[in-house]
Amino acid sequence: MIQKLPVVLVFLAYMAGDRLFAEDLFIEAGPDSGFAFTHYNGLNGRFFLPEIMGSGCALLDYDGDGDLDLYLVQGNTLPVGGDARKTLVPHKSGTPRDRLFRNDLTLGPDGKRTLRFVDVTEQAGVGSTGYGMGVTTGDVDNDGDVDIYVTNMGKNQLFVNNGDGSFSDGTDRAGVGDEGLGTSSAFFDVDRDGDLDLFVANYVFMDLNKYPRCFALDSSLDFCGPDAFPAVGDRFFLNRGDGTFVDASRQLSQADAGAGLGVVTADLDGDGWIDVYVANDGDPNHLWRNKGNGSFEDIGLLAGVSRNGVGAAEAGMGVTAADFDRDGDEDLFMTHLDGETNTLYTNQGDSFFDDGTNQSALGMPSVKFTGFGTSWVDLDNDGWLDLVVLNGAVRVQAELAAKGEIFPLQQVNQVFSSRGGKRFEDTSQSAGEAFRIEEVSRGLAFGDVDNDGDADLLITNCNGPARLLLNRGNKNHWLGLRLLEKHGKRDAIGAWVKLTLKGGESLGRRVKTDGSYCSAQDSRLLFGLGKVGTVKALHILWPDGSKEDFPALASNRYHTLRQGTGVKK
Amino acid sequence: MSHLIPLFLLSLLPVQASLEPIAPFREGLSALVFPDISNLEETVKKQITSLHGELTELIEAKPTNVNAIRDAYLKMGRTFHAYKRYDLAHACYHNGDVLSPGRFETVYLIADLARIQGHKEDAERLYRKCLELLPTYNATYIRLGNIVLQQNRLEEAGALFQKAFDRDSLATAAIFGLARVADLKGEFDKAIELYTACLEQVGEANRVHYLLGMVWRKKGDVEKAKLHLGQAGKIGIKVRDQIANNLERFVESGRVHLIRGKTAFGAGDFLGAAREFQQAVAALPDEPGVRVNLALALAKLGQGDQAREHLRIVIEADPANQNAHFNLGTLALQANNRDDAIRHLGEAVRLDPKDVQARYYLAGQLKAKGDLEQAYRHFDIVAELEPNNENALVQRAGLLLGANRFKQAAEVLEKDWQHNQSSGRLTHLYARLLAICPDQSLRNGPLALDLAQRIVNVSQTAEHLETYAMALAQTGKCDEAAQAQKKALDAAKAEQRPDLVSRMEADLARYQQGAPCEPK
Repeated sequence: MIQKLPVVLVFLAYMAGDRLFAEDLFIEAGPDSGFAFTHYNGLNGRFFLPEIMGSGCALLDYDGDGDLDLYLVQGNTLPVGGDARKTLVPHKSGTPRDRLFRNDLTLGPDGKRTLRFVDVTEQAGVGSTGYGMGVTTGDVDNDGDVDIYVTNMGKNQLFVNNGDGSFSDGTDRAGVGDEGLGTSSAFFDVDRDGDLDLFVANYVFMDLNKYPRCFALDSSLDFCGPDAFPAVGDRFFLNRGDGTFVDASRQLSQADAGAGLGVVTADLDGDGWIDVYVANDGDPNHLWRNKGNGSFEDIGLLAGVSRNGVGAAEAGMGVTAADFDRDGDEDLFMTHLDGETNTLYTNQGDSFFDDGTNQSALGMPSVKFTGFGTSWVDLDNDGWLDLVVLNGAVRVQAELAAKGEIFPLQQVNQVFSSRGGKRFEDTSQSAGEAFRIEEVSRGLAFGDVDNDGDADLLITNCNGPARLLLNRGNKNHWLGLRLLEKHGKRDAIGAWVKLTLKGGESLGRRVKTDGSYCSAQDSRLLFGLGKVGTVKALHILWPDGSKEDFPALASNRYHTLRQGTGVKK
Repeated sequence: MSHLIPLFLLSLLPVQASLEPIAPFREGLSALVFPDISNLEETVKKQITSLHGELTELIEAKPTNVNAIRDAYLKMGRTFHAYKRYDLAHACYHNGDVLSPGRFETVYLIADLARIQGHKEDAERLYRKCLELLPTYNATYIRLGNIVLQQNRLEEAGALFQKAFDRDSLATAAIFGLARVADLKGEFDKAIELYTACLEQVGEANRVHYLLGMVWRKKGDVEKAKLHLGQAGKIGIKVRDQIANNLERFVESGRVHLIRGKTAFGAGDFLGAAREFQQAVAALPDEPGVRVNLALALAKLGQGDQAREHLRIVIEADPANQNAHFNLGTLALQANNRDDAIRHLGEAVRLDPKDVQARYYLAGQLKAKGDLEQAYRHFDIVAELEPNNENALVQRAGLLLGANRFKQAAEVLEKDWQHNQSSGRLTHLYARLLAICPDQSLRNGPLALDLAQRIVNVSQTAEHLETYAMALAQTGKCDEAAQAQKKALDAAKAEQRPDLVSRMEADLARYQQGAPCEPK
């Protein structure tokens, strides 16, 4: 007898490659997966700026079982410690707290992948209870497990992974409890000494007891912009080698402090050392060139990336860096306020960038949106990096307010498909339901959550539900890599991989967890190989500056490569 | 029992609008649904209510007077356009266009809305229609050129800018557009010529320097690039567009002057800021913050007396206005009026004990007055509030040293340095204390030398080298100390520091005599 499939089986069927809606790129993991998280922003009618900033998320393998777990940063009341049940949109249960979901992915004998998430926050002893903003991940003490750094409005926190599924708050011991309004942050080895250093962007200083009132032109109350507050300056911490840090932020005072929101690391001047780029909200951006001795200099202005092509300092929110045009160097893409365009800075070499926004057709489609999280991701494994842009306004949208929206900032998210690394086409309509609804999206992390060789997305919404979007796959070939430093314990954050295909084309990707907005990505690399599918050669520039070649690897699977096991160059 | 509705909700809920919707009275018209205006400024409320009344009356009393109704719709549309309520503005313009189809100005305003909102296809189509309707309105060519340029259609954009320029050779926005096209086409010499022409026509448009700087950068002339980048500011080239620019006149909110004033202030245009703030004060006389802004702009213009007067008015009305006290304090400080500075900064600190800036300035004034105990107390609080505040830490330690409280100074410096090891000034001060402290039990030659070495590795001023020599002497390395001291002397002469020379020469003589050569 033929019976109707239960809903749960319909949900699981996609995992075997079945297509429910052939045109959609993503399908959302439903409640049956065990994943559910709703952001709480403490909305209290006083128009506090953090209420509209949302918070980020991370994809990380905290338990080392080979699949990606989910970390979601939570907001709180303003000030922290209030009654979360008495705000305009009450928090439904208990004290607001970050959440960690363990991924218990299983692969059935028939090849079916089944995702099952378990909220392990309490048993793992992790999760900030402050007003959370951002998160980054990295193994700060080189003990082989990934640690979590959370930025807050208030003291930031470092959760050190104990290696047994639990975490300890190591903030004070590590000396990284900066008390500014931290946003995005990044772990990377700035001085090539084999440990991860930390860069933290700070937004502005605000005193909730002396909070200014800001108004729209028609004199109605509205959220303030960053210019209503003093900027406080970013923070940079050098790892002593034992997971404790020295505050080396003073050197950053050589440039005017900006209202920092996005941070990405990349070798932007092509000298082999990892630099830091900070997207500032309304202030000129910073490109902190790594001088190779643990110190930085800001070259943003002369490099052409502090302001857009017509000289305007834009409202930088999220930022992503990658070699989207496959010319061997890393380019930058930034999201901005409505009325501005998002901006693409194409690396011309010689520490110089051109504003390539108009040429790439990424400008006009962004004018009506305020962008936050963004990432270059090869969504269809064709070898060209596409763009995901999350949107959500920061000023009351009068039309939505008139409809009775209590938090009237909703906008749609966007996917831009690369057309050969030259132009981008807005393909949001076929990206899935999550790209057709309007929400107040903020954090974006990408990674292969179900280990099936395509990039999935984790999206956070301010004052709304987080969404895990699973890529429904494609027929192109792929190659997954996990790169480990020479001791084989820690991800080789900062390593640059150049992969040459049989046809001679090459693709470059960097191992990192930073970029986007307040979020942390999968540290593994996923190369789309298109129809070719054959890798001819693989060259790696390790974070310590050494180079190795590796033999051709089989496609359509993940490989782990350790520094020192290749052929030295 | 009554319930208070939160302000936020009041401003957002649509149902309590005090203005009735205006229904279409003819086919094709859109209904106008108004937002709640109860929380708006009185002037804005009156303005919108008046427009609503005017339109309603016309529709009810003279429904056949299409032109008058059309004009009322357009006036209301412009008002909402100016207030950035684009949905309502669009509905009003649409109705105006339905009543009198194809009028240039209506189409142009709809095009402007499409442009602002990023609807490129609509904007392009509508501007093209505008060109058909009224080819003599020059701004249309430039607006359309910019939209085409954003789509990277360089030749087409160039042709539109050229037409605008041909019609009006003083249209700077057209020249700027031509410069952008030349720049993007890689015709750098032409771009430089055109950008320079823009600056000649509109000198205050300092953002053009950024583009000039970038073109020189592309040409490989980094020095010229730096020259222009150093002059780059926020003021761009404006399109001379009477229709769009006139919209500002429809804003009757005093806040617009506040917003414009802040924008001007941020761009360094203090005169413009003061003018706007004056209008804001006139419109919003009961808001002290507005007058504080005016005072700040006047202070920037060197009109300290007027600035003080405004701040005094604020304090009379609101004695607890911390901003006003702080600004009066800093104005007094700039005028070397120490007693007033201490009085107002003290009040600012009393009103906000966590205002680090006010407390730091207050401490500095108390120190200058000789009240060292109170100065120390305030620097100490600043240092506790901001453990990374290098200035406060150095001042605090300096006061302890000045009072010969060496043990306490050593403890404080050790703690502060541990937390701020990248601070050159703290490292230097601590190194010197360890090298030459009069309390010899507090000296630590090896640590002093380690710290001094770190300093001279990055900076070799006379005083840094002198400290290095002192540390060497303290560790018994008299020859090396003498060598370092000679360098310090050379540096002191080069820095024109005669105050250091005689002391350095005396120390040099002691170093040259050999061990023991440490300071007494």
